Amino acid sequence: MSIRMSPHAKRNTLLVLFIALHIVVIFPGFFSTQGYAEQNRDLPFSPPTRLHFVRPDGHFSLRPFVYGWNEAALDTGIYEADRSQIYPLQFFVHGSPYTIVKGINASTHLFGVESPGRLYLFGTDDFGRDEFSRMLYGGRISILAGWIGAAIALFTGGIVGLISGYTGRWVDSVTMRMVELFMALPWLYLLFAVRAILPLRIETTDTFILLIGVVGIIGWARPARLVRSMVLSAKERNFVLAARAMGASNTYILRKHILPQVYALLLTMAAYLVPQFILAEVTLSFLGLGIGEPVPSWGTLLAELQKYNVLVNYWWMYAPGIALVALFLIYHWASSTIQQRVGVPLT
Amino acid sequence: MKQLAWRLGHRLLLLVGVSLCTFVLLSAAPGSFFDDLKLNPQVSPATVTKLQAQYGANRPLPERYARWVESIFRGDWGYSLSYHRPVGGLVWQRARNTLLLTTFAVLLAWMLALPWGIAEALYKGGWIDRTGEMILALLLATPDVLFALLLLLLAARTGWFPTGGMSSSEVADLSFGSRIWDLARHLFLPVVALALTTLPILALHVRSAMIGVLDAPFLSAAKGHGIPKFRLLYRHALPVALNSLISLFGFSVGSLLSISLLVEVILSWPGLGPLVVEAVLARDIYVVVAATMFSAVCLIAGNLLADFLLYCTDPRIRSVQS
Amino acid sequence: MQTKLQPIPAANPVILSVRNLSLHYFQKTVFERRIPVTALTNVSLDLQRGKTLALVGSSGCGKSSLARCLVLLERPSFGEIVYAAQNLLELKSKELKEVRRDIHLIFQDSASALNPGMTIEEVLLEPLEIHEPTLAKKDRFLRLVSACEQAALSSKWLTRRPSELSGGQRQRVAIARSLISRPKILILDEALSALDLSTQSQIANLLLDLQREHSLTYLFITHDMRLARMLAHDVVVMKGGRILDSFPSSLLTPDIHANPASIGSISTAKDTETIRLQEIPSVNE
Repeated sequence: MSIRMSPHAKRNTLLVLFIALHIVVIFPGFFSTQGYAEQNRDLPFSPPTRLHFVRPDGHFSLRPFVYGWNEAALDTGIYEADRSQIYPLQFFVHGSPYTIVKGINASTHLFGVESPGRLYLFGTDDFGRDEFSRMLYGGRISILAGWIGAAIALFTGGIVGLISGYTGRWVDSVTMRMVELFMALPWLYLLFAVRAILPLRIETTDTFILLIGVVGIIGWARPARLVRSMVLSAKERNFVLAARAMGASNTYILRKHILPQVYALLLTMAAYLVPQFILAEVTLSFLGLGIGEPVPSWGTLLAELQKYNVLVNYWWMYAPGIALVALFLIYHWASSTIQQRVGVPLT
Repeated sequence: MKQLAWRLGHRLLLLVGVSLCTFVLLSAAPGSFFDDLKLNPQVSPATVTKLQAQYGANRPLPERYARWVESIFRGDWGYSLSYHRPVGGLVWQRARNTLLLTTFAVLLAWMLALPWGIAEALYKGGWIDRTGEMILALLLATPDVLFALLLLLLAARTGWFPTGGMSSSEVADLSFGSRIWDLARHLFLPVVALALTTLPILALHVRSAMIGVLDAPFLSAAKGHGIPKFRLLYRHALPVALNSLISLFGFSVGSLLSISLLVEVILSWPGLGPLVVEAVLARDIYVVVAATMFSAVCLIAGNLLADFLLYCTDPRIRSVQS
Repeated sequence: MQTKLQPIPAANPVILSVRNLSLHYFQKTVFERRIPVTALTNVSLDLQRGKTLALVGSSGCGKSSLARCLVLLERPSFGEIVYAAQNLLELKSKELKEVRRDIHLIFQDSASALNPGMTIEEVLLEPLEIHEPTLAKKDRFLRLVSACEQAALSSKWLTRRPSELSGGQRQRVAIARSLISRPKILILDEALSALDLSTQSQIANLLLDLQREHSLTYLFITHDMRLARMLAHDVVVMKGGRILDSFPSSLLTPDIHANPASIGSISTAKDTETIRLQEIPSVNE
């Protein structure tokens, strides 16, 4: 990177960015301005509302504000600001209620404007739903899917690899044949085949978690193989033999010598797998096979772009795509940092 | 040679396992085509039952699998209940379209990745390397969805390229040359989208393979002998780097049928991708199984090709035999 | 397998006795074929208390296999290992664990014998963790310090990692790690071969000192005749998994190069009394 910063400062900035991004998508209710299902049929496909600092009478106002936002004439799709109505931007504003976790509700949003003012940071979609809020909620779904899928794949694969590598003999042979079998199937097609088994409509979050769980399980093969080969080589290392010669039990050797290295390997793999599973969820949702309406996911948001007029006219609908690129860049950086720090090669 | 034969046998066995797996997996689907058919008020229950009996949908699983395998050997892959055509022909035709697209895309990607990676490795640390890496990181972070959508936007805005499909409506009336040109115009966008998706991974691999070789002592020794730089690169360095790139190439070949799914859907290219998606939505089992088998065969073939190429190019493998 | 042995009086000079040890296994090749390998055939030897037995032979003759059998990393197919009036191969794992404190193996490659992710202190305390996990912190510290002193290991190395130490220092750590369990027998599997000449002398002297102080018994596996002569009281020659000959180390003359193949000629020559016995002082006498 050619940005002029000391490596430490650069690393800390990116770390802060990484954490901030994830905090925002874990608590989309607080950071968004509206609920993801709130429609406003009067304002379909409205472009982003602009924040202004200079009032109509020429005064500079430190606090930004928006004008009233209306359709210029009915059904034209052209929007203009109504300068007679001024709504200042406020922080910790009281808005539509949302659920933080099951059972705990709140209605304070980080920023917003009082109704009937409207703040559409990323414009609206076909039903007048705020794209910005939908992106935050969608980010939660997609990123959560990535993490859950990766966690399940690493967990199942890790355990299988550990057992297979440490036990050896026929257990190892059988496991490796299974791994080869799974790796002979193209991943995306396996994904679809598995998706075909599950119910077609994913209504609730629970079904969604089930879907991601299954998607995660089918990704067990590569982690299993990597963990197994690491365990095999670790098992034969002289320091393990020395411990064994000293009378160490299998549990001790696993705990003290083998597992620490396995954790390092799993961490390296996680940085690589999470984006892969995020992309899997986005792919499925894009094709209509992921979570159902009205819950947004970046995939469903991007699917809007398949309509010709959306693709060509409404540039703000590309926001989820840009967000994906930014996210993957950050994960790419995280992955290379982890590989440098931990030093476990991923072949 | 015996080793290759053994590997071939091993992979064929794998293929059998794959077919079994896929078939069992799909037969476990709770809904089936017939369920949706039953909901259709225009189709009488009697017809549904007759169709079910005709396609043997009510038989126990092992018997269905055995019948399916037997029919495959006869060349009959089943019948698509939503397309009303034999699955074999349908999938094969779509697979050909996909291969047309992916072959060009993968070739383009490799043709760009090789010089890119080599250049980056040669000028490692310099501005070529750093800028190149930044661009590659950006390309790597962009999902194929976005590439396809952006190119579609380009086509829609400028009109330089058709916005999808494989051929224009008047294609039957055109001469042969015009037909080729029409095909090329339709191919351009999906090929570019797919090439941009695969390029970064390939380039990064080429780069790291070349760096691994360029740092090796044998190359310094050769340079010390006074061998000119160009010859060094092509006669000494590249062949060794090629070794690790061959498995990557095998994987590229193997993924020819599976890599283009989203691009095909977005750009309306009539390949395996859209077919599989529709088949999943319609619960058309035989189509999904056939498509999965085709791409698994492709993957296995790619691995075998890599094995074969490694055998031909790496003298060490041949000497292990003796 | 043999019948139960008679109890041996404690003053017996033989501390460990190997009887008719044989080791067969199958080696898996790349193509999944299994080749039968005979590593040891009918090997018998005795370790004298407080003395060093050198085990020499060219590579592949079964020296390392024998070492691994003695610390029970490999299970011999046939034979006995008699220690403290018991056949180790018949013991249950619990009883075996006690025996394992007495017999230790020092590897040739010191770097791989120490876990690179652990500090030296953790490495040294490992035997205590395995055998005496309930030992009080103070006692642990005392044992640690004592082992470091005996191995001439400076305490400033305790917080470092193995990669930061030199080969000689790592071997000291390996020796200290064994010393902390107060062993009786040390098996040195080419332990000095990877070190440079001056470090070799240093460690060799350390081993001699330790042997004097604690009456340790060594099985010194090597292909270096100079070291064998310096450290050992008796020599055993192996070839192709069998014992070729055994004789006291005083019979090793400076004529002998590092090639143990010539030993064979010595032992046959011994029968005809044509050996030249020329004494040359060893480095440290």
